[in-house]
Amino acid sequence: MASRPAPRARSRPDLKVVPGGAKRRVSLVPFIAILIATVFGVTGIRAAQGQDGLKAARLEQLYSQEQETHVLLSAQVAELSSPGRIADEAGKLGLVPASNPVFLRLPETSDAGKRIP
Amino acid sequence: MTKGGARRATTLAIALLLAMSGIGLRLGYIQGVRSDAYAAEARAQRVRKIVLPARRGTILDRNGGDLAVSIPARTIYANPKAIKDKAKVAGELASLLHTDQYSVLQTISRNTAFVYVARRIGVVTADNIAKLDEPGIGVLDEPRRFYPGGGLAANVLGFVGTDQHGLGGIEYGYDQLLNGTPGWQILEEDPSGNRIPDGEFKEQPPVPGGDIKLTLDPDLQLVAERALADQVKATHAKGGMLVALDPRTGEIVAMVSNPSFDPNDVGKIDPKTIHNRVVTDAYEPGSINKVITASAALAGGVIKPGEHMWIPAGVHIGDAYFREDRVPDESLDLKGILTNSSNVGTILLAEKVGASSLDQYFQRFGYGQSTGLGFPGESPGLLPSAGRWTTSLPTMAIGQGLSVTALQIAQVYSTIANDGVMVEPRLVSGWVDRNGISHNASDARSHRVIPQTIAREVRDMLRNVVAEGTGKNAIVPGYDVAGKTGTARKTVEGVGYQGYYASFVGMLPARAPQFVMAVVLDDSTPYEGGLAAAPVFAQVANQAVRILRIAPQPAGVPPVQP
Repeated sequence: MASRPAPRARSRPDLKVVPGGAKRRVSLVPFIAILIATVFGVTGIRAAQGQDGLKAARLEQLYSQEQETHVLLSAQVAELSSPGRIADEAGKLGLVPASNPVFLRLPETSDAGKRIP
Repeated sequence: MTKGGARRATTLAIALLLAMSGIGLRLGYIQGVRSDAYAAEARAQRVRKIVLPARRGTILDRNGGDLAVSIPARTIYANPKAIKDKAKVAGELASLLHTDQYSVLQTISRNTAFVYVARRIGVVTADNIAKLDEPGIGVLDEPRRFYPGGGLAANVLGFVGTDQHGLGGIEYGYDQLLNGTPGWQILEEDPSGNRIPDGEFKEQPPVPGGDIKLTLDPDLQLVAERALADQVKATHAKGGMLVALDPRTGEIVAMVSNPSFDPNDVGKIDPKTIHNRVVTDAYEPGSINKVITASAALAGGVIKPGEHMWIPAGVHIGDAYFREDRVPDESLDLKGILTNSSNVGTILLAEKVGASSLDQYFQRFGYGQSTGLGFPGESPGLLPSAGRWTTSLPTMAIGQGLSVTALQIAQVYSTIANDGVMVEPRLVSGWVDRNGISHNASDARSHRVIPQTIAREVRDMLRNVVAEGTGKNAIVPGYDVAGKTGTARKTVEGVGYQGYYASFVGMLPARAPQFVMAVVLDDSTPYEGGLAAAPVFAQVANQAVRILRIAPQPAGVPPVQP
């Protein structure tokens, strides 16, 4: 039986410990924090926006009502100041139309209206 | 896993797969095939289109006061099919509307899906009804036309119908300007009717109508309306007309028709009262017309001022006999003819003037044609052509056989007041268009009708009519008044002459008139113009001089020689 030659010893590189060679694990905490902040932030902004929208709608409605009130009150003022109503009220208070007017005629001389020192 | 367990798992998986497939298919159908329809249905539930009513323009008087305005109002409607307890709802509505419960119940019991319960009611009442929150009862915005002065100038202003379009007067004539264009809003609402803040929103704002400013003076209008109404009542007349204007500008400061109406209560308006009789009713003017014959005679040189002519008590013209009412045979000049309102004297002058020439003067003074006012339904009157005057020249000369409106007569006297220059009358002094831009009405058109000297001579004669003649009741203390009375037979359709029109047209101060007014009474007792119409002139003119600030002696005009 022929003998097999013994395997040659392989030369192995020198092994050294390299610092920090292990894979670094990335922490998820900041991402989750940002995600939560974004979700809450957007939700909060949307809620505030919604609230403002409702407030704006209410104000618009109020403005419209106030405008209506203004028009109605203006019409009421016009009604109360109409000559017919004033004449009727004056009559109730015992007022009568003025008698014939009397006009004063200044003498038409050259001195009329001149300032006297 | 046991054999039985594996079988059950397989069955469950298949069932789940089938269920998921079913859901998937349905989802595909909804999201794919029917997506548009469902999206539209969902949108229709959220999105609402609201019509925004446009404000109708305001009609203002010459001082800027409101004569006609649009105010907010609401309309209550019902869907009877959606109302469960009709008796209860009818009771609630009747209580708030201050009306009969039974009639409301009848209304909301109709077999229809839409019925009006009350139209254009007050905002507060409508809001209280809305607060009831009754299913089947709704509220709509429907602005209402409101006339703050009630019946003040009603025949001039006119009124509007349920669609808020003008049906008479200025409201009708200027409907296009006054009427605005409605707008709309498209918005998304939640089930409670609140607007979704970030939802769909589109808006087309309404365009309000333009405003119109009239030349009417509200105080004088009121004085004139009341004075005319009092006289109509006192003389048992069927009605009356009055128009007052400034002869220099043609501005109408008062325009009255009697009987009248309240435009705030359209449902109760009597159709016979809606016309502005001053421009729509033509009548035979009678003796008032004699100023035209006198002007034509002076202009044609037929007679000179101060020149006398013999006036018999009666005269035969053709187969007709005209007699004098008051004056016996006597010698009169033109001033005397007008002062005594002599029919025979006027007829004799007209015979000398001739039909053709007199016809020309009638036309130059505006007879048979519109005044240019542009008021709806204005009558041009009736002036037969001179070719048909073979036997009617005498009656034409004294104002019978032709017809004119009160405004046309006022225009004739305005021409004499304005030294022979006719200025077109006008009621509108300006307007604000839909874009908010103000416009002044252009100056009224004018043209000379008779020479200045003749106008002044006629005016001087008309002074005498008031001072010494038939118009004494038109005297305004402190003022020099010129004018003429008229008592004309009234033609009634199908009957002929029946009754009288009593009229007076005057002006002041006579030397430089700033105020002309025509008063006409329909079938008054007494029927003479000097007794029925002249007192109205005096009463109204007495207030007009104060309201319009007319001095007895305008600056630069020499005092009147008594």
